[in-house]
Amino acid sequence: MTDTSDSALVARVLSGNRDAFGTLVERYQDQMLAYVKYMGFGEPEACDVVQDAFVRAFRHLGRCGEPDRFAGWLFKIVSNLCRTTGSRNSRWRWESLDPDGPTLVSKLPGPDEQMEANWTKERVRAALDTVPADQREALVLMYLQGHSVKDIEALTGASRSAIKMRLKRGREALRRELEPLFSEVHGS
Amino acid sequence: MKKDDDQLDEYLSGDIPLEELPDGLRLEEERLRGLIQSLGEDVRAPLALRDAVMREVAEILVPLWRRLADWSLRPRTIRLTPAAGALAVAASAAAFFLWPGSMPMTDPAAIAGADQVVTRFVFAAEGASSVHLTGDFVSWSREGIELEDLRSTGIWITDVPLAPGVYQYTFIVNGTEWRPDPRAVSQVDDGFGQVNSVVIVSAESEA
Repeated sequence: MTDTSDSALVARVLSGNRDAFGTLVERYQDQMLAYVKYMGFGEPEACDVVQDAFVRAFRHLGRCGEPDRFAGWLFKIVSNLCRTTGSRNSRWRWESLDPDGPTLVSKLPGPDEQMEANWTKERVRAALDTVPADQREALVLMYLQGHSVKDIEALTGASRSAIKMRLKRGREALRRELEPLFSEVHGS
Repeated sequence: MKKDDDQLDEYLSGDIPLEELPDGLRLEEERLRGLIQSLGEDVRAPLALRDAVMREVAEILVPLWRRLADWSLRPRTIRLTPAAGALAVAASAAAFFLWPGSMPMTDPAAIAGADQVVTRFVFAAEGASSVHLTGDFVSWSREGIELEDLRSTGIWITDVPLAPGVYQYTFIVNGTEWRPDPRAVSQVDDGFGQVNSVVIVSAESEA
């Protein structure tokens, strides 16, 4: 059975099998796109950033010191690009990519539930936009990407105490912005 | 009894699991996690994204691997004319005296192929057990090209046939330390917090 772990795929790419890199792209493109989008990029620009990041990763794959941690290494590239990429004309034009509709895929069954869920998501997105970038990054990495504080420390280079402070402040800000949603949970 | 803030701190540090948080804090945490994660569920990269990446990757791959294959697989002889030999000896001598490193020296007279120029890379690393050269001309392979310290002086040397052009490179000392060439013509940010060295290989004679 073929080993499809990140480290095995990285080794195959380095030995000249570029199709293996396609598997890595498929594996991480949604996760990276989600991060970039919620760091405040529009969809076309977010795709630019992710595309650039993968191409950079390919060019410098030999520098991935721990191939089994390819995702973290890739994230560093994405994160750096988010910091350094300004607004520009995107290469991406959605109408030519997906003529049938947006790339957002709903998993919700009924129209009422879908409306409510969409409304909630819009509120969460709007609330996240009000949070300072460093706090938003910590929140997205922890809650959206599932990283631990220790991981975030390695990914961002910030100290553990700074990350925890960002998370606490970010949580507070979100809780304030989304108070009604939290009240529903608390039953108050 | 610990304050919520202390317990939240311990939870964020990974010292205690979610279940050990007080009920109010735990529900709040679960709700926050659920709300933010619901955003992630919706993001799907367009099908064209992978294709766009792979198209770009293919453009990178072909010339680099062709160049690498040309260099590594095709038997070739590097012939030096007496004049070129003298130049090479002079280059070696200069390299040995330069400290702490030496910029790559191209010898246009020592043409390895129709369009390639033997380029000498020299790096000073006294006490190192190995030095490898990597760069865009070998797709940044970690194995790269091994340098030799023939005289055990700490001066590591290799000659690489390269087509004329501008290349980025760096040295790997003892298999782990990525070190730029301190005497390269220029250094560029590699986008990962380090710098790459730059060598310009010219088809024209430098003499």
